[in-house]
Amino acid sequence: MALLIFQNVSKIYPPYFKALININLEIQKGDFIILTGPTGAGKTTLLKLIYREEKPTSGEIFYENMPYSKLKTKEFSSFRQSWGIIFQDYKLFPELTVYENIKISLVLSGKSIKNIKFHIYEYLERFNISQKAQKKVKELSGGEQQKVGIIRAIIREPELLIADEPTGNLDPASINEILEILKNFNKEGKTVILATHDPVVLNQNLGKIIKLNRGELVQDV
Amino acid sequence: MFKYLSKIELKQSITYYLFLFLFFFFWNFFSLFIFYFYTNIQNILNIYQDNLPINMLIFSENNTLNILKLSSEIEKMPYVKKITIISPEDLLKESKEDLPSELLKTFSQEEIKSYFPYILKIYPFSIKDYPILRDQLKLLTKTNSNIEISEHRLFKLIYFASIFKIGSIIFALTWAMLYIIFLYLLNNLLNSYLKHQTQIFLLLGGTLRIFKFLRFLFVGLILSVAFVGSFFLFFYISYNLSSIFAFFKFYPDLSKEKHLLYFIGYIFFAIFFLPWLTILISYKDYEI
Repeated sequence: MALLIFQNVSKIYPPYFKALININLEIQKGDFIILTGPTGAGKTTLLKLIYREEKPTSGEIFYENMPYSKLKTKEFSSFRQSWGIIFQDYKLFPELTVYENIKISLVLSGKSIKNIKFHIYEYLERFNISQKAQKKVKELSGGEQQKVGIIRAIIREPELLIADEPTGNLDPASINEILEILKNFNKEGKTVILATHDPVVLNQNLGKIIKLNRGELVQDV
Repeated sequence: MFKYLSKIELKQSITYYLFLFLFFFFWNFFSLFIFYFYTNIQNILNIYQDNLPINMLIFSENNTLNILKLSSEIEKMPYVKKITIISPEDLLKESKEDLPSELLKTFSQEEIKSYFPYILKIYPFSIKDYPILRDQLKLLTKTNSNIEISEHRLFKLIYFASIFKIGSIIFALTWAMLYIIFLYLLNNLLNSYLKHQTQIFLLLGGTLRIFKFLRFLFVGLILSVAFVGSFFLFFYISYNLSSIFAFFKFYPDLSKEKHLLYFIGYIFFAIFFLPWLTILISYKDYEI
């Protein structure tokens, strides 16, 4: 069953910048999709269209056969609650602590977890940042913020995981850790969409590679 | 989560909330004073505005018939509601006690009476007609030197009050608009200041409902505190003002049903309805 369908989707930023041109794409449930292409190819824009931070200029996107243009905000929120999104610019609440940032995400997902604190600390331990749990996010380094962003997304155990350059600021050990997590996610039948131009990640043969260049789909492997 | 979102909202917006407190404190204080003056003026006008006569004094006229003739002619003029005639005899009776005793001893009553005029108390339909009618009557004084026009000593004050009454309604509407615009701009400012956080929350699957509710809670709480504070200040000043100037009564008089309803309506609009409405409107384009 197709989870996501892009039907003649274009995105033009005013006045004339064509970020995506006539994209036709089908992502099946359980796919591991790697979106690649040079900087400015349209990877982030395509992801933004999936989680509807941006709306397409033309064309239609379907999630589980439901057209985005017909979905109400409330309905779309419930989709987002079952997704995990790792943002390129982290998108953390700077005034809140690491623990609070993760907890908000977990609570919003609606997952019933008995000992939330223990659960969060387990993940923090895994990424070696448990000692920073009570620090404000704005006091962390870029790499640490990226780890918080990753934990915030994966702790929800989402049905669909969208990751935009998740390895950009990470050390090799952490890169391997995150790739391992993504693989395991996919093995559990969950869908992963990963945007990256990191050769280390691309060489891992994780799944289906989709290449974008100047807003166009140039290779669908 | 509620706690965390409150933390975000407050940490980012505390200065703006302080500003809101100060603004509303003074806005409400002056609003209550507008109401206070408006109701007092209305009260004075209700007593005087349609009962204020123009006095026409007619000297050296002994023939009552001529007076009645003049009176019936004036009665036909537009703007005239009624005329009351006071004869020199009546005037003498009224003023006897005020006249110096030497005068009463020196002159006979007939002699004194001859100095007194007939007075035609001419009542216009309303205070607005008063100056037009007075000008028309003044024309009569030009043709007859024995006729004088005397204005009521409170006329200027009451006429000004009637203009102020209309002005104060316009002012109150402008004043209310100022408040609505302020609330809208403040909400927009807060929204744009918190836009980044709001969008993160929405992308994580949250909805704007909780942000709207939180904003309303904070704004409502601040407005309520500012309202109580400024009401006490208003009460203190207006109560003292009313005890100095006896014709100024303390308003709102909450023992009167009408005042109580207005007051509850005012609180509902100022503290609940308008803030809620402006919050809803300001968040209109924030959904993603």
